[in-house]
Amino acid sequence: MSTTLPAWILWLLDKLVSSAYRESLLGDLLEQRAQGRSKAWFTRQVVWAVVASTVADLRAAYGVMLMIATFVGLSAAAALGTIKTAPGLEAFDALLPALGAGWLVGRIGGVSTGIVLVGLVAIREVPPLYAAVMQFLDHFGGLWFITDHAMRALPDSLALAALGILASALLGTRPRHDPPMPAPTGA
Amino acid sequence: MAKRDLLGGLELLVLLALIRLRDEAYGVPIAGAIAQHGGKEPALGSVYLTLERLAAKGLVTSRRGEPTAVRGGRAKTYFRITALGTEQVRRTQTVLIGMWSGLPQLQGSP
Repeated sequence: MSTTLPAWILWLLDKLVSSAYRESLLGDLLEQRAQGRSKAWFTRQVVWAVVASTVADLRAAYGVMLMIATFVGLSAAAALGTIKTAPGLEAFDALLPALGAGWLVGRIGGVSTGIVLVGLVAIREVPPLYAAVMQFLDHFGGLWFITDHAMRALPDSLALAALGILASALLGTRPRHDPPMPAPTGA
Repeated sequence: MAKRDLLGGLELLVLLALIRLRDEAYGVPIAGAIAQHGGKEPALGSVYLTLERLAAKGLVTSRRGEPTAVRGGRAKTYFRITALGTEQVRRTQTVLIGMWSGLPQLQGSP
C-alpha cells in the first residue's frame, strides 16, 4: 500500500503536535499505514495527536489556557450577539480575533508567523479574496459568522495579536525536536 | 504514600507494556499490547505523550533505532522502563491490591 499522504496532514502534524517524539510518532503512523491501516485511521490518529498535544500544552501553560478560554467564550458570545449589543464592551470586538490569531500564529511559529499575518491582512484588504474565503467558510455552517466577525475587526487588533503571539511563544511552546538519545544500536 | 507515587491509568498500562515487550517497545507494539490485553487500543499520540511524561519523571529511557523507508525515513524510538519505573509500578500494584481486597462487590470473576 502506498504511504503517500496529503501534505496538509504531515504539515498539521509537524506544526501542531509538540511532542518531543513527534518524528517517531509520524514514523509509526506511516508504518501502520503501509501495513494496511486506512487513510481515515491515519487522519483520526493525526487529529487526536493534535488534540492531545494541545491539551497537554494547555495543562502546562495556564496563561494560554486562559487566553483560549477567553477566545472561545467571546466567540460564543459574539455568535449570540451579546457582545455587539452590550455597551462598553466594544474592546472585545478587537480582543476576540486578537486572542484567536495570537494563539494560532504563536502555536505555528517560525517563518509561518509572518506568512499567516500577511495572509490574514491580505484576505481582509482584498475584497475578491475576502469574498472567496467567506464563500468557502460558508460550507461549515455558522463558523463563517465568527470568522467574518473576527476578520472585520482584524486591522484594529494586530497589536493585540502580537501580544498574543508573544504570550503563546513564551507560555505555549514545548520542545519541537526529538531529545538527544544514545546512538543507534542496530535495532 | 505520597500521591505523586501513584501512576495514572494509561501510565500504568504503558509501563506494564514496556515490561512485557522488553527490547521491542516502541509506539505501535505498546498500543498493541494494551489492546491485546483487553483495553481499547490507545491513540499513538496519547501513547507518546504518556511516554514523554514518564521520561520526564525518570521512569523510562529511550534509544533511537535505525530509520527505515517504510517509515518515511524516520527512526523508531525504543523505550525501556527504569528501576525507578519498576518501583513505581510495584507501589501502584500494592495500593490497588490493597484497595481491592475486602470488597465483596469485587469478589469472583468479572
